[in-house]
Amino acid sequence: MSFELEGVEQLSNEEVHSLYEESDRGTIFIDVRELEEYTEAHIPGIPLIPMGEMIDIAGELKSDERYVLVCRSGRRSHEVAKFLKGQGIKNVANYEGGMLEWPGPRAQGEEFIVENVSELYKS
Amino acid sequence: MALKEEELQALEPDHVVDGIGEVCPHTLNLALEALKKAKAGEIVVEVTDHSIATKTIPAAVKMRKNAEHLGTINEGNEYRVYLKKL
Repeated sequence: MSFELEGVEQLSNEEVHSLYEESDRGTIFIDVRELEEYTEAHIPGIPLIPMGEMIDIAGELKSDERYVLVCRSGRRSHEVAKFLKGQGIKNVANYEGGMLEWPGPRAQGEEFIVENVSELYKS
Repeated sequence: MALKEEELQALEPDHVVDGIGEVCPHTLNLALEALKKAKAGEIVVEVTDHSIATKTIPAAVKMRKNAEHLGTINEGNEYRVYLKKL
């Protein structure tokens, strides 16, 4: 069951997992950890934009899309979600448990390192 | 604007936070808690051995606009992250 914290929707494992399973429904996941954490283990197929880079690219994100942010424990991604809300990205939620609680499959390596924000909207 | 290492070392921190042995999210929480207690203009330093924290802490304060990241000193596997409360 999701709940709201500081104006940001916090999603549970089940909610994130089902959103991930139906990823063609337009939910855009973004991993905001650092490269070394991402290459060690990440949710297969989801893109990486480290927290520090989110500050620079926030203005390029489409504000009419739905985003779910992921990090190690849900703490960093919550900070980024709050920041993006302040930048006019209304539909952004936080994976409250983060990778520590992710029940699904994990991939390794530099699978999807975002170089250009437009890559988020290509699939 | 990040300071040079010698400039950072010359600073007298008002608050020093021991983050050794901690990882995210605690490293981030420790810094943000210390900043809550600090007064505007005071220097907060977190000592950590978690390299990820040297990126998350500066990013978080930049997003929150509650502090300026003055720079980070790396000595061996320890890092000293310098913040100035705004």
